[in-house]
Amino acid sequence: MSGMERRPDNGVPSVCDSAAEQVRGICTDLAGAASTASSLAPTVRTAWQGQAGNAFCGSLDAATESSRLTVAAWDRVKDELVRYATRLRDIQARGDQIRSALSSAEGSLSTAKKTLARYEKDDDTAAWRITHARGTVASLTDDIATQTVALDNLRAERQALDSDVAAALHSAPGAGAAAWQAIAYRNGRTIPKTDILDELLDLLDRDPTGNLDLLHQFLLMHSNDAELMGTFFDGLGARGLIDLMRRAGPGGTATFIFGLLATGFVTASSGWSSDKQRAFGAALVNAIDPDTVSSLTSDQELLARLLASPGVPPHVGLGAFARLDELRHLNPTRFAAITASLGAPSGAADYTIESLANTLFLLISQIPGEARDYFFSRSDPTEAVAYWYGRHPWASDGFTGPAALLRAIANEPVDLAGGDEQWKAILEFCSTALDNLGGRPDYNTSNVNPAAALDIAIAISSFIPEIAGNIFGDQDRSTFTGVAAEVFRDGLLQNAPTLDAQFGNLARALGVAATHPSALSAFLVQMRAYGDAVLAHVTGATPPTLDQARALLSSVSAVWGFTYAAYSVEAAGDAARLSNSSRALLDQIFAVGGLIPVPGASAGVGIGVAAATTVAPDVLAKIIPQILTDEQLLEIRNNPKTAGRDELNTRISDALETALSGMNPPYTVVDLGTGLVRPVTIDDFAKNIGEAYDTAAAAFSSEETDGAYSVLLSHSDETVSRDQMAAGKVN
Amino acid sequence: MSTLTVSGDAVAEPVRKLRECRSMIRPDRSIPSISLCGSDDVIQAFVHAFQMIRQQDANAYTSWANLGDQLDAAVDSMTCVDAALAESFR
Repeated sequence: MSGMERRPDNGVPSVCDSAAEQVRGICTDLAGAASTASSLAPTVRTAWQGQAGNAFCGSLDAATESSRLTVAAWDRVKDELVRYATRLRDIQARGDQIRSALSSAEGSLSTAKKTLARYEKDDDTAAWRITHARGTVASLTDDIATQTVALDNLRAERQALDSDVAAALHSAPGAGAAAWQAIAYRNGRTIPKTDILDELLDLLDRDPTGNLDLLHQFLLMHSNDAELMGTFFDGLGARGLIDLMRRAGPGGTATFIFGLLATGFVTASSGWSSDKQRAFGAALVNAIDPDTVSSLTSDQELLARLLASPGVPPHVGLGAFARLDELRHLNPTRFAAITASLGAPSGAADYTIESLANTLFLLISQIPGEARDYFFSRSDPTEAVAYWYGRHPWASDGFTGPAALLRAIANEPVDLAGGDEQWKAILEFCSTALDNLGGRPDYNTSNVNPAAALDIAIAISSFIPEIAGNIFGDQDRSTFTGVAAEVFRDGLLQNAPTLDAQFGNLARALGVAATHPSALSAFLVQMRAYGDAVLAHVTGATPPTLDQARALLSSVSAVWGFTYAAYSVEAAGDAARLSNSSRALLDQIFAVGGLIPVPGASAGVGIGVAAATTVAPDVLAKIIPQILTDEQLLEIRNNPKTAGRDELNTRISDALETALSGMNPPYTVVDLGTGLVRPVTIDDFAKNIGEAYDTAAAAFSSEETDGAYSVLLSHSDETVSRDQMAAGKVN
Repeated sequence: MSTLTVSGDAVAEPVRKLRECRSMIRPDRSIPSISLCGSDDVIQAFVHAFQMIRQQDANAYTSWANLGDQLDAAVDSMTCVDAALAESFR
């Protein structure tokens, strides 16, 4: 028996112990990171609400869940190494005993054999001695045979242990590990990545369901590898991706794969050119079959969830949206099936599904200029904007998608160096969108969620100068407002393009949004900013003419009146949905005019829009009583319109008083009573200011005036009153 | 982007912690050696398993770090929009 044959238990167990210790450390790090990640989720969930925030938290949860699979895999490797070392030590201890017994028996046998030989050579040896010696040799030979068998058994035990541990280690990476290794480590060599991908795609093509574990393992390792994912999704194509999502999607049998598939798609598509991103987006829409429902999930919902994943390039969304919009004309039946309301599965009352169209609007709001270009590339841009803002069903999405795009386009950075074409296009898009939004009966307080309301209010606040310039312009307010007006913007009063929306519709678009406290508050902050800019201009180093100054100040006041009328008609009409305390809060917010001090900040510091959007209604409700007296609160409750006007008058008068006294030369006016020129007084302004406010507030909230109060419906040529719209009496 | 309802302060810590994950990614070369364990099969199985799980490990850290970048970008774009709006009447 050779030395190697005697040592079937060879090996140094301590190397496995020390490797196990290293693996334990790696595993502890990852488990710690997973705990940290899951502890961050609630913070982000609270901080970032709405679809994008939900999608982000969904991805964070999915990443953390996947990492726990890896933690478990490390644990299995560590356990196997420890088990191997322990078993090997046990085998070695027994091996030592066997070898010791064997050596001893062999030594004795050698001696016994020599003794026997000597006896057999010597004729004088008694027969019984020879018999005894032969017995000893036979017995020792038996002993050696027994120990040899024991050693063979030990060898078998070791081999079984090796193969058991090797098998356990092979499967340690989790489901699909063996299948992956069969591709990746064939014949003891490492196969090039491209060959692995070819084979993987081939397997998925032949038997997608049977290879889901393999796919999972692949994604668990490589979902962030740009090169591999790029090649993989290229090979998979849009149809292949949709097909895999059906099998792996939420509600499917392999839900855990979906998050990784989405991560892989983000990785792959982020590396594509914007043209390729758009093409793939369009192909995805082409690939879905609206009749296919995998378990609880329809194709369009799967696609919506995929595209809602954080990091999906917006151009994928633009390509998908463009294709969807084309289908509207090319294949209305298919379009209707794709965009049909998804509905909740039975028994899931709180289950809300964001629609594909809403997801696409949220995506393209990240590239507002290109989204706007798309609309204007249509043969009839107005028709396209009018459909999506005036008729497409958004109520189940809370209007968040269209609101986000509207806000993004309204706030696009404008480069005036290249002329005002871009600004005109922005105005044209927003005019049509607001006209149609304000003219749809289902655009109401309960269907528009707070995030959408905030976006819409901020979008409209971008056009406060245009609204102010137009509100008592030459145009008949019952018709469209025209496309140019005297507008005060960027510190200049100039004839400029303006909103082309019907004022009744605009009032309704703003009014519904402004029944949400944060939205009203954000709008008023911008109103105040505009008013301050006008005051600074009027009393500045190069003041406008008195007529212009009066017109400007009146327009500021008129926009306040307009705003009051906008929200108050909706609040009154929608009394069934709006509690008394909510209504009181709106009135208080209006009365303090967007000047909400931040708790803890230095006294009297107003908050900007960024902060205004963060103040929750319950916080506003707590702050306002701290800055208004009981008498003021009572006055607001009894007559919010007057309270708002008085607050505005006081503020403008105070500012004017300070400014006018310091002006040289002073403003002058021809006194109507005496016919003499005299310095202008605050009263000259204040009278106009109050009148402008009252006129606007009345015009947009009372049927006694003119057509400014009426709304042109989006889905017909009819005109109805805002009261009827707000009260839900119009279908 | 548009439905972000708080300023960046609240998510600054999550952004930082998620991004820190990038520094946790282990280099490819360091595989603990068990070459003296006495079984070529076990050694090979361990190396393959280790390589695969280390790849999973790196992928997990990268996912978190990328999410940190995306969260940061979302907050940034929101802040930019609001700052631009507040300046527009000046």
